[in-house]
Amino acid sequence: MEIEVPDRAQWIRMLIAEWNRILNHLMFIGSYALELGAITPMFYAFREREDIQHLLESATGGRLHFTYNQVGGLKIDLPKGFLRLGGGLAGHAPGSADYFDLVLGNEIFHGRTKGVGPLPPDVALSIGVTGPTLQATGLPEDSRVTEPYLKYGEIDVEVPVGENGDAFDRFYCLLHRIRASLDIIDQIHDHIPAGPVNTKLPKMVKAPEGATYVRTENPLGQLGYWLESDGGRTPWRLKMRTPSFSNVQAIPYLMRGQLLPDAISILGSVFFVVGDIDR
Amino acid sequence: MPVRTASRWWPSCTRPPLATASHSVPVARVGARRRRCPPSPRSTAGAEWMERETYDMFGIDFPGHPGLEPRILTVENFEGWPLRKDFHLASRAAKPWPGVAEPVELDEEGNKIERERAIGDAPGPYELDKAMAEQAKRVNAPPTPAVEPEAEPVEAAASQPRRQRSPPPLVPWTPQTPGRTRAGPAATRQHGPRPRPRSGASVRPRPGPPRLAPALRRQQAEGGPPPADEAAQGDAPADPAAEQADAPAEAVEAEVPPAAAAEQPEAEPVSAGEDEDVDPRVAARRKRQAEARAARAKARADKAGGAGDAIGSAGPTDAASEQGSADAAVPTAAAPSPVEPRPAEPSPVEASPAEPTAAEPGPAETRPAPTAEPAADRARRGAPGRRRPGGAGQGQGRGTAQATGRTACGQGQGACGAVRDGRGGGRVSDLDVRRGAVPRRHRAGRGHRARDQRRRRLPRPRTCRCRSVRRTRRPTACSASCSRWTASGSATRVPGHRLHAPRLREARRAPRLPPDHGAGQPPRLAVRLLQRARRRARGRAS
Repeated sequence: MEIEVPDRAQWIRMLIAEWNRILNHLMFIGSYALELGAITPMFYAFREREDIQHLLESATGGRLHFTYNQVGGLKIDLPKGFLRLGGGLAGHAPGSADYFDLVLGNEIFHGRTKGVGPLPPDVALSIGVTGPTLQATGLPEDSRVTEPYLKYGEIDVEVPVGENGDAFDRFYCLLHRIRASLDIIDQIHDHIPAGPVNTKLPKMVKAPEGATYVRTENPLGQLGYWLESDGGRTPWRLKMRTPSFSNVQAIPYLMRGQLLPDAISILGSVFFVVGDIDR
Repeated sequence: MPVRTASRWWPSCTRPPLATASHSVPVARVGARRRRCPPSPRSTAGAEWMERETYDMFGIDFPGHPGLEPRILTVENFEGWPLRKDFHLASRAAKPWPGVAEPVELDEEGNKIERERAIGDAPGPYELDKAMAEQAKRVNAPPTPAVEPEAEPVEAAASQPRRQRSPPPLVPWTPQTPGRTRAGPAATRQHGPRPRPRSGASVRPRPGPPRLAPALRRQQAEGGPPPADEAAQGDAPADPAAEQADAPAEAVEAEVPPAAAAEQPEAEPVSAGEDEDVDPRVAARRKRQAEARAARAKARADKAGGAGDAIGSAGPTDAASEQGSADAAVPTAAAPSPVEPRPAEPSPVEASPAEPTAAEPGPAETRPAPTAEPAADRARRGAPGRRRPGGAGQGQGRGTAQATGRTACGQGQGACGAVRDGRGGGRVSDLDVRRGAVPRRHRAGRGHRARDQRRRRLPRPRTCRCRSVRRTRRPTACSASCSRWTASGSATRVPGHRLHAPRLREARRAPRLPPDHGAGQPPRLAVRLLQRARRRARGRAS
């Protein structure tokens, strides 16, 4: 399409994506603990979420749906002091040991999640599971590293993996992905260049004839867009491959032979968003 | 605390063989005739839901799939394949695409391909969508695209073999329990379009009462002889009223060729719409106003003259007299539209030959009953008599005035009179009938229509909508609040404020206060000021 997104815009996209990933993981960490009977982590998670949402609101204007990306760049450049604020936030808050102590040090949590709903890696692959659910099985598949997009190739991305693929490992991966994201944010802060965040667009953006598939690593797994164009002003076909749709397919396998009380811990550990399933 | 260290991703790791629908299946062209994929290897379990999604959206079959039905992404009885290009959204038919340009499809030469789109193909979540679509189709009928079938064989193949729909058999409404009953699950749930007959020959003229209103009306429009050949009927209905009603039906059915008789009622308003340029609802309202005027004048004249015999024959709660009136009304088809003889029963069109037994009940048990039922039921409800003493139950002499241009509404399915003669547009009440909230036979009658109107919240013309006012007709002073709620059309009544219709009209005509007048005053004072201004204006006028 001959539209080149400026470097700074790409770095900022990464930055916002990582913050957003942390938002998502905090949400699921809080809710999963809540489903297993622990209320406190939810409050902690929302405390951190609030800080991050403030931060992102200052840049994007939105709290939940940022709509920050645009064709050719970003809606607007970062506000002054964003990086400093973000750096401070990344330094202390979400990666604090609260969650690790609170949840991972809890015997009840261990008892309810360890060995519950194990997912072998081959089954996970055949089902098409991605994201932390796949990484919990021991496979370090993450499109940020296996097929780097944006500037992920220039930085060091940590992919936490589990061993048994059970509910504990899934939660564990999710928790450690927060740390990995904070690590990435630090690196982005070091790398982010100056420059424009937008490119001059032609009057009418037309996708050239043909088809393309782009996949990104979303918080819950791989999100793919298949875009087919006939060269016109509107795309001919657009197909989304959403992570939750594929991940949820693993639930029947995970449920088989398990105890009924474990259904909660299995369902919660396959992190999914319903709106992501039915689009 | 067992903390595991996060293992770093090692760069030597190649991309693992992800199961992103990697089986190389030749893609089936949706537009082509073939709509099945070659069997895909079942090595990837994750393909199952993907294939289900494809089936839901495109209707592509995957042999060997453990189960494509029921659909997972749509409602289970959804008809049609929403992501196909020939699928037309009903809301798009009613309202054009709000974007800059409608996505178009170009062929090899760059010409725009006009797909033949079936508007009825779009089962919206509610029938309202369909009604809107029909209205839109009626108002701005698009020119039929002239596409040679040789130019694009793929296109022709795509449009010709439409999916063989097997609609749920319509269960005729059997009147065991009068009143609010559901019309049966099959009837209420049918979202899709009604099946059209393949040809005229496939439609069997049945001995029972067919969907006769279009034919009957057409005949009346031509000024043909009244179809009163009662000896021509074949079966023996149980009820004399039904017998009367059946007779003209048969006569008409015999005269009209089957192709014409099979004409769908949806297509009717296009040809028979009275005034195409006027909004049908406006036209209907005007017509209703005229009728109400005539009826009121007649009632006044009757009251003055004391026409005892007519009133005596018009006891609205008497089923026997109702039946007698049906006797009188039916043979004189010169009266523009008899209200009675439309039975609540599916037309022969609806009974597709695929399911003969389920769709057609025996003629003896169900057919005569619906014919007699609307009359009795309407009489029981007293719907005509509520608003107009001695209304529809009158004999032909009195019935002509208010029956002018009024046709009986039919049996749901978009065949209600208002839709047919172009007087109602997309009526929401169709939805109610489909859902079973209103029994189908209740479509006729003014009381029902009034209820529909209330439901639609259209401002009723000329009178305020408080029924107590209509009953008492007590001329009380208008107030600001009255005019406000009447004008806004909200259904809430303001207690204590009764409004007489002429007063309301005056109030509407009266000038408003100047904007600075009464501003900042307490509302009572503002109201008083407004009233004073109106009084002054009235004095000036007189």
